This record gives sequence, C-alpha cells and structure tokens, in this order.
Amino acid sequence: MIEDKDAYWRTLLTSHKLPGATGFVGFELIDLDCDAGWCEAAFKLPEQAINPGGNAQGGFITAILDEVMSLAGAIVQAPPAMSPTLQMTTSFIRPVPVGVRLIARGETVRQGSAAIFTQGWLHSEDGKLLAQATASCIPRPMS
Amino acid sequence: MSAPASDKPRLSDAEMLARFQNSKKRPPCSETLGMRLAEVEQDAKRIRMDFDVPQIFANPTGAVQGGFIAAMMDEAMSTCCIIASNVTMTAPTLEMKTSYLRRLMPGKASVEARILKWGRSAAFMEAECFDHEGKLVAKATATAIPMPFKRLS
Repeated sequence: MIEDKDAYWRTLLTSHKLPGATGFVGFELIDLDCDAGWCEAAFKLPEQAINPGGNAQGGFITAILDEVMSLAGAIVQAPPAMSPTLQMTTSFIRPVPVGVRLIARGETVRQGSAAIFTQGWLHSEDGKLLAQATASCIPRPMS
Repeated sequence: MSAPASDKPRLSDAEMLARFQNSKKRPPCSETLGMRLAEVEQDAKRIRMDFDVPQIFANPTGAVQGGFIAAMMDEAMSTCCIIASNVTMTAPTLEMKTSYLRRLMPGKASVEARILKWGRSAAFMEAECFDHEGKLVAKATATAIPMPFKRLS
C-alpha cells in the first residue's frame, strides 16, 4: 500500500526513464494532485510533428492531451495503475506551434468502478487555449 | 452543396498515387509516421495508407500511444481531403473523435480513410486503422474546413 500517492507519482514521472511516446512530445511534469484528480505538465513538440501548414499535426496534439488525461485517470486509482483510453474527442481550437513550450492540464471528471471520464486542455504559455479534449477510459490496476 | 470543382485537369487514380509516392517535399509528420500512400480511389473519395510505426511511440505497456494512432488517421483523412480537391485545397481538422478498439504494437499498420461529405464550408471524414493482421484497431470521425492551399501560407 503506497501511503503518499502524490510523492509516488512525482518520483515516477521525474526520475524514472520516460516511455517513448512521453519523451517524444517533450513531457515535463509541473504538478499533480491525486485526490483532486488533476495533473499539469509542460510539453514541447519536435520538428517531426510539423504538418504541411507548418504547425503541429493534430494527432500529435491528441498525443499530448492523451498523456495528461491518461495520467489524470491513472493517479485517482490505487497506484500503480493505468487508464487505457476507450474513446477521445479533440477540438483543435488554434494552430499549435512546434519547438515552443506548451502547458497541458488533465482532469478526472468522474471515477466510476468500471469507467473513468477525463478532460484536458492545451494552452500556450501566454494563456491562449489551443486545444481541448474529453475521453472515457477504464481503470486498470498494474500490481 | 459541394465545393466548386477546380479547373485543373483530373489525374487518373494511378497518376495521383504516383504523384504522392514520388513527392520530394513530404511534410515532417509524414516521415515521422513512416507513411506511404498505397491506394487511391478518387470516385469513392477513399484512400489507403501504410505505416511503419517506430518503437519510440510506445506507451508504458509497449503498445502504440493513442495519440499516435490518431496522428496516422489524421494524416490519412487530411490526405484524402487534398486528393478530393484535386490537390487545390487542404482541410485543417476542427474536431476528431477516436475509438480505440484494441492494442496496436509498433510496426506495420494501415489506415483507410473516406470523405463522407466534401462541402463548401465543411468536410466530414472517417478512418479505420488496422494492425498487420488486418484486425480493426481504431476508428475515427472528423470535421474539417476546406481552404485553398495559398491561404494557409
């Protein structure tokens, strides 16, 4: 039984070797709160994410939001746990630049025994809303 | 009402496929995903793309992170729009909904994309992603706004 959930996740997400997908989108944890069910992280997309219009291709924006929303769904459970995404809807509100620090927030909206609902936002550092998403996922203990 | 047909002469499906396969200036996101256009059916407004997903797009379980599956389907749906406009327009995605039916491991995958409606002010698309055995991995629908190429630059 892990006593301090916030400390467990902070250690895992800052000192542990990050998975490939997480590293690709330039994940850097800002803060999280397991009981409140939210997390914030900074991201920086590499040039490999550029679309013909010169901005980030939508899938890579979805990848950023999937990172913070899946994390929000994971941290509300007893660690270690994951929250595989069943369905996710992303709205691309403004063009997203690559090579620039971005701020994303994921929140758990409802934690049920069989389903978890999450939402997420991506902002520029000066506070402009760039994209938002909602998702449904399932709780999955990993121990 | 559908968008006005361009005056550009139409290419055959084979010519359109060759044009994309031989393109020297592919966007970085296409290279990143190991994308290759495999089939074009202009009358059916449908394409198929093959992908070779790199190991680095795995999540902690070793499967491809959902956002990168969305990236492949976005790539296919956007290319489908460009081809539907006879390469005169592009269609930035407004909203995309993806259902993840089963795990996809890094390696070979393919995506089929179709235009449901190519309108003057909005386009509706759908896509399906298959693993190397042909099993359905994910399904997506999206909306986009058709725009002449030059307005983006």
